[in-house]
Amino acid sequence: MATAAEPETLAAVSPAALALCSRRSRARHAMDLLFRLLARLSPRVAKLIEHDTALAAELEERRNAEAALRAAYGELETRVAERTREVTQANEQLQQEIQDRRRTEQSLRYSETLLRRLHEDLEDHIAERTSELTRTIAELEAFSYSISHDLRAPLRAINGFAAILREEHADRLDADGDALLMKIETNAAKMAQLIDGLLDFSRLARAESVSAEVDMAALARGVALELAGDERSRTVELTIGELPRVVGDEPMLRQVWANLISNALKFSAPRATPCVAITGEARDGEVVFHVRDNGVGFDMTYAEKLFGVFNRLHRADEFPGVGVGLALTRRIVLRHGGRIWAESNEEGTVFHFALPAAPARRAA
Amino acid sequence: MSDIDVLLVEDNPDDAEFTLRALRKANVALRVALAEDGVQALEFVFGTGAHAQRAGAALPRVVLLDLKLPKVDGLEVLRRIKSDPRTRALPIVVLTSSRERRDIQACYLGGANSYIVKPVEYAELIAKLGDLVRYWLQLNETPPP
Repeated sequence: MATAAEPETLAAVSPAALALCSRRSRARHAMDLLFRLLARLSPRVAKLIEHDTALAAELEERRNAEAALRAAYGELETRVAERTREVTQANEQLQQEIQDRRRTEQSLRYSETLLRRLHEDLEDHIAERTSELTRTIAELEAFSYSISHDLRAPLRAINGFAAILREEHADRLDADGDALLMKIETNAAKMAQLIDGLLDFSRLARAESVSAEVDMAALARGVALELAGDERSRTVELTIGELPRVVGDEPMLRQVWANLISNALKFSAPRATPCVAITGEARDGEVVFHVRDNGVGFDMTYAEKLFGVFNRLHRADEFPGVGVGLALTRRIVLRHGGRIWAESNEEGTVFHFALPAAPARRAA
Repeated sequence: MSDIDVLLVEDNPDDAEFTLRALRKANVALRVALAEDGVQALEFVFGTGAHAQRAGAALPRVVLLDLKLPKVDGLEVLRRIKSDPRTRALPIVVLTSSRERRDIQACYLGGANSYIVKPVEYAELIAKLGDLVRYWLQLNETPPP
C-alpha cells in the first residue's frame, strides 16, 4: 500500500521541486522525504524486526526443546536398550532355569518310575518268597506230623512183638537171646522218645499262644517242686530269687522252666553237692532270667549246637534225653520275642533267657 | 442177642494182632470181628455187600474204630453210622495213635462215645484194652439190639 502511494506523491512534487528549489532544499526535501518514508516504514520494519526476533527466539526455543527432546530420547533409548538387555538376560536365565527344572523333573519322574518298578518288583518278590515259605513251613509241619504218626506204627509193632516174645516164649530164650531182646526193647524205647520229642516240636509250631501276665517266680517254684520229686534232685541245693513278671503264654513258659531246671538238675547230679540257682532282673527294656548249675558243663565250641533239634553234646549213655528240650525251649523263647544263650566252664553252666519287658504283640 | 461183642476196624495187621491178643487176654470168650478198611466196616454194620448175609442181624455191642483207614476213613465211618437212625445208638470207641486236638474234637463232634490213644507199650495196651472191655461190655449196659 505504501508503495502505491509513493509514486503519486513523488510525481506531484518532483517537477515543482526540480524547478523551484535549490539543490540544498532539494536535498533537504529529499532527506525529509526519506525521513518521512523512513518514519512511515520504521514501525513496520520495527515490527518486522520484532517479529523476526520473536521468531528467532521461538526458533531458538524450539531448537533448544528439540535438542532437549533429542537428548531425552537418546537417554530413553539408552535406558530402553539397557532394560531390554537386562530383560533379555533375565529371560535367558529364566529359560535356562525352566530347562534345568524340566530336566530335573524328567529325571525325577524317571527315578520315580524306576523306584516304583523296583518297589513293585520287591513286593512281588516278597509275596512270592512268603508264599513259598508258608508252603514250605506247612509241608514241613505236615511232614513232621506224618513222620511222628507213621513212625509210631512200626515202633508199636516192634515193642509189641518183643513183649509177646518175652512173655510167651521166655522159657525158650537163653541168656544171649534175652540180652538181644533187651537191646531191641531199649532201642525201641529210645525211638519212642525221639518221636515224642518230634511230635512235641511240631505241635508247638502249630499251637496258638495266649498272652497273659505270668508270675515267673511262682511258675519256676512250681516246676522246681515237681522236678524235686525226682530221685536225681533229692540232694540238690536249689535257690530261686526274686523274679520279675512277664507277659506271655503260661503253659509254654512253664515248659521253658521245666526244660532248663531239669537240664540243670541232670547235669549237676554227678557233683557231690549239686547246686542250682535261679535269678532274674529287669534291664534295658528286657527281663533276663538265669539258671545256673555247678554241673559238668559243655564245650563252648559247640554252644551253637545246643539249641538244634536232636543235637546233643554228651554221649547218650552219659545223660538221658534225646536232644529236643533245648530246641523246644528256644522256639518258645523266640515266639515270645526273646532270646536265649548259654555259657559254660568247668565250674558249671548258666542258661540265660531274655524276654521283652512288656511285649505288645508277639510274632506268632 | 448180638452174635458179635466187638467189631474191630483196623487196617494194620500188626496192630490188629496186638489188639486181638489184648482183647483175648482181657476176656477169652470175647467174640470179635475184624474189618480191615472203612468199606468192610460199613458193610458189616449195615449188612450190605460182602456182608449181605448179615442184613437184619443184631449190631455188634461196641465198635473199636481206627481213624486212618484205606478207602473210607474212620471219621467218615463214624459219620455214616451216627447219621443213620438204625445204627445211631451203636457205641463207637475210637482207638487211634493220634493224640491231636483236632482229631479228638472231630471225633466227639461226629458222635464218638469214647476216644482212646493206642499206647506204644504192649503192656500198656493190654491194660487199656482190659479196662475198655470191663467198662463197655461188663460195667456199661449196651443198647438193646
